[in-house]
Amino acid sequence: MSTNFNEKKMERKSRNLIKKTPAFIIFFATTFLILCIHAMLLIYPYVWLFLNSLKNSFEFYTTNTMLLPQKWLFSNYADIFDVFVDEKGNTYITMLFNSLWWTAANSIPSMFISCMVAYVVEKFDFRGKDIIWGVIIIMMILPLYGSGAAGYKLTFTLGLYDSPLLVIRSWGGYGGFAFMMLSAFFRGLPRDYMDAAEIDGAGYFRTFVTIMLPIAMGPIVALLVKSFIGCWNEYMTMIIYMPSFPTLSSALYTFEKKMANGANVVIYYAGALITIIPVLVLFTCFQDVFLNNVSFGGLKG
Amino acid sequence: MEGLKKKKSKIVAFFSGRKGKQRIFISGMLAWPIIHFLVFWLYVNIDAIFLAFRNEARGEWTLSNFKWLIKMFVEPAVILDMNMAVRNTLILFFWNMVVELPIAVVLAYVFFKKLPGNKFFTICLYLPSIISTAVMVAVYKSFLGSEGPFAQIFGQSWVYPITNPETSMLSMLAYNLWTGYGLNIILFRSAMGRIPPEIFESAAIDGITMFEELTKIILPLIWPTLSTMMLISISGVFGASGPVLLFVGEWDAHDAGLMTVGHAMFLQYKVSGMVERAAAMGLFFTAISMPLVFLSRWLLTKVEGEYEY
Repeated sequence: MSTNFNEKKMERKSRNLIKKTPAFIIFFATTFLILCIHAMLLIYPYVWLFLNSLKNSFEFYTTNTMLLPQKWLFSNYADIFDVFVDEKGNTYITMLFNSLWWTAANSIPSMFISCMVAYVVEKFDFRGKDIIWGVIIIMMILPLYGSGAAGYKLTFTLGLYDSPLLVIRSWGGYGGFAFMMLSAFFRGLPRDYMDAAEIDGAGYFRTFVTIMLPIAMGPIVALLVKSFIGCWNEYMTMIIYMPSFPTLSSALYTFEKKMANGANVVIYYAGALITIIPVLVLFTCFQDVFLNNVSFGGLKG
Repeated sequence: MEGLKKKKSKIVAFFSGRKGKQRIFISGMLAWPIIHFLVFWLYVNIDAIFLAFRNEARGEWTLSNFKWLIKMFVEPAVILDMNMAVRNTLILFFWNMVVELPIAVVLAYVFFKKLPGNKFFTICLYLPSIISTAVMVAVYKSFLGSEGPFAQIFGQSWVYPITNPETSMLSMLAYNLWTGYGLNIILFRSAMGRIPPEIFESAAIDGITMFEELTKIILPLIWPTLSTMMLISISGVFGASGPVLLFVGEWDAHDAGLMTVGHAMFLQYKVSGMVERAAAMGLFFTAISMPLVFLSRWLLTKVEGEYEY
């Protein structure tokens, strides 16, 4: 433990060995200042939005958009449930439920399948392995733009349009950021674990589930958090393919048209802020896991 | 009968024993991803090529989708100007390559050098990547809108920049600058963290400056990560659409001067129901960008040195 600590200390020291010239100091000071302004520009709009979400519309439009609310109307947050109702009768609760099931059904199976493919491709030699790698690399770099239209048509052909079953479209597991990260992880993992499990009589699938997946838990959790956040924030899929299943994120687009300049604008702001709470909580809980486990190598294959 | 039996026993032998079990395992693990690939990638992309030459309503093969596309370049329609769409898409792409990526590298470097508050800044800059684009755009639009701080400060002279064709692209670029490089910073920072400390120690003994350290040590060593990010950007050059839909809705992109190739395709297949025209646009831009991608990949690999660490 102490050796580790000393190593880290040495590493940190070695990064800062270059001479601190005036140019160095000016550059760092300027960057620091710019970053402070940028951070303020990222945080202040949310403070502004929060404060305005607690006003009534009259106060917001006429007298006071910049200052603190004259009366703090937390009831605006309760009004979300009455105001956020679309033409198909989807309420805020329905949208919340849609966000939850979409996020879970999307990210967990696709992460498991990504692990399956990455593990097999990295740890086993078999005929066709090079073809699989070639296809994955080609998929990542080939600029194919017409697939949106054909994919849209296919969802009708398969009866997936406006159906929860559309979720299987994301269960590919090959290509993409998650696959690249997991394959890099499994590549670096010694075969000894597999050999030891085999000597102990474990089958291939058992070795994968009970030994390899727990070892890969660091990157898996980091990617799962990233995937959860991505799915929670997804809005285009709902707008294009699943109009009857609006999520909180896609509903913001629908309701912005109706509410952005209307009497319910403050409630719209409240709804927008509620949407970001789960991802902020998730990110706060897992920020260290996430920030320490994300890396990306080259595309050499 | 005899041949059938032989075949059967061959199959049984193929899947028995240690090797056989391994084959079953590999087949089982890859069966679904392969089916998925065949249906949702290969079939979709082949069908996209066919669709581009089809008129589905009449059930005939035609070049009319491409003729329509050329017309949108030569005589732009009231709601679709392909020249504008291509110009805006390329502006967004170059903004990403020339401004956002280099800024991300420099910021990753200063965080790597332990700038005070680097963790706070990293998290702040990463926030736009975890908050829904729908919320980010809603906040951005409200902030720039008639009740926002800018309108309060500038009063009557403030013109809402998002729907004004003269400022709309600038406001889109500003949005991208505001939100666009959180993940890249983490990736570059992580790549820098993997460089052995001894390299920095010996460089410091040689009296290296900060600029030299960044350009002569760090950039070559994080090149695999950087070139990968560049290649991903280049391969998505005509997909660099920005959140046009959230900025101006479905039909106002043209009037606001915000039309992009991605949005034009979306309008065709989703809003107008002209799947074939969207496919023709896709094929056209694929044909243009394909050589570009392979040339870039070749160039990026040429630049890449053989650094082992």
